[in-house]
Amino acid sequence: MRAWPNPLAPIGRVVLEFLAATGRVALFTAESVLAAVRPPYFFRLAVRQFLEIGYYSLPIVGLTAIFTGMVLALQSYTGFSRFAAESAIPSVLVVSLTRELGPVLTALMVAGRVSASIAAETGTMRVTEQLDALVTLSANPLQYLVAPRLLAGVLALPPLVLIADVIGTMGGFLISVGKLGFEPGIFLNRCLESLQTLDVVSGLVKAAVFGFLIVLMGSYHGFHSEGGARGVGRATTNAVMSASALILVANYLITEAFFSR
Amino acid sequence: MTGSSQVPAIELRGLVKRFGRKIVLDGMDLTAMAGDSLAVIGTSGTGKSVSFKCALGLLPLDAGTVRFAGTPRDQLPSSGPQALMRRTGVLFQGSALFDSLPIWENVAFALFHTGSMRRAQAYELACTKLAEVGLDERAANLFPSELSGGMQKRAAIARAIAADPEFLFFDEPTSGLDPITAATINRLIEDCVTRLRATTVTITHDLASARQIANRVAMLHGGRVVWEGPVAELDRSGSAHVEQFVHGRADGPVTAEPPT
Repeated sequence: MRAWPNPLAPIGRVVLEFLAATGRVALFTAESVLAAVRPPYFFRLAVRQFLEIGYYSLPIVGLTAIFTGMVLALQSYTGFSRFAAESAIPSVLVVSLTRELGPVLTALMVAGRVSASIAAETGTMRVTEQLDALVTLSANPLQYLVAPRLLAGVLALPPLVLIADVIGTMGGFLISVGKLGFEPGIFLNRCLESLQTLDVVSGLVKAAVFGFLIVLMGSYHGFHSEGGARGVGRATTNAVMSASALILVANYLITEAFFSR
Repeated sequence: MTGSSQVPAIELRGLVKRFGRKIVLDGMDLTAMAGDSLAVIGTSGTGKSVSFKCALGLLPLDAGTVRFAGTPRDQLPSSGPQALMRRTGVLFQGSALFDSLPIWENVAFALFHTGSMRRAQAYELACTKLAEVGLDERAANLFPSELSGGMQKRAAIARAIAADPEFLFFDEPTSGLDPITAATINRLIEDCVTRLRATTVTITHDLASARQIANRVAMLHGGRVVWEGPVAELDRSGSAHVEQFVHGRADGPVTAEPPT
């Protein structure tokens, strides 16, 4: 008698694979965090990574922020002028930048740059046996490679986001004053009046979490890459995709934690 | 060269390693006494490099025991595996030098990055070790990508012997090298082994290399050791497997690696 294929089997396989992958990531995260808190500490590497993740991301983050601020001012004006609410533009601009757009867009840009770079570098080390060589030289690859990057990621993203917030607001300021006819003093005053400490703090907390996720995904996919150049390419793509997706999920969860009533 | 100690320096017993349904090691046994230089030969895909990685703990075993100086690897105390690695020098097939570090930091890595040695002292030691393998101080400050394949192998040997290890593992030390450079690397390894009196396991399919480096040879086929004996007996082993391998014949009990 011919056995019919179970239509639920493919769904089950996908669910099981998803659960297994989640377990692997959770285990990798726990091991990496443990490695980061245990000596030896590689501070010199952490400083180098801080520059790599933070300083060298400044141009792309600045560019993203200034155009986001400019577009936000223009779009807000288009919408708000229908209700004669143009005066709300500074408040909307500064709050949406510090709470949402600054952290999320900065993190997405850094994810594209840094997650890919970490995955490619670590993946190449995996396929050329450099990770094995680390073990044979009494070094824990998680302590030597992942821990300094995690520390650098968590510390580098908040200042980057702060800079993005300022540059984004300046972008909005330029358009509002130069094109939409706002008084400079009034615009800046409205910005400062609307801004609350929690807006900035929530953005910085998001930035630190996003920094952690960006490094974690780059390292995880790099560590688990296999099969030569093709495997490294796949790891790089997966790192950027998963980091971006996790940033969006984490953004919702943190927003919920800070602002839900 | 065989030492007088009764406890084997390196002992692999009943190693089993599977990748999915493919059994790569099928109850492999191998013993190296203290001071032995053992060459493991075999065709491509027969599990030589896998056994090397299993012995070092870089790949988990499905079954079997690896003992160093009588102590099973899995019964070492928590700091044991790292302590064992400090007594072990390893040369990887592709050299596996760290791209982001200059050669001297590669050589002194275990002492400088994970040990307590100061920078100046580590640099000096690295230069000494590089000189032992025929590289001068100029090479010390270059990056791996700036060296030729032969020079990278030399630098990787310098890294393997940097901490004067008791156990040395070489994975295909002459693969990808021209015959003259390969002979130079063989002589270098022979000198290091003699000077350090380390117990050495060399994975190779290069018979010239095995004859020069080793005092004992083991042939791996089908995930098991099918012959083991002194290197002098390689040409009169009485094993059909070894005979076919030594004479490089296509016909015999050993078939070329099947497609996976």
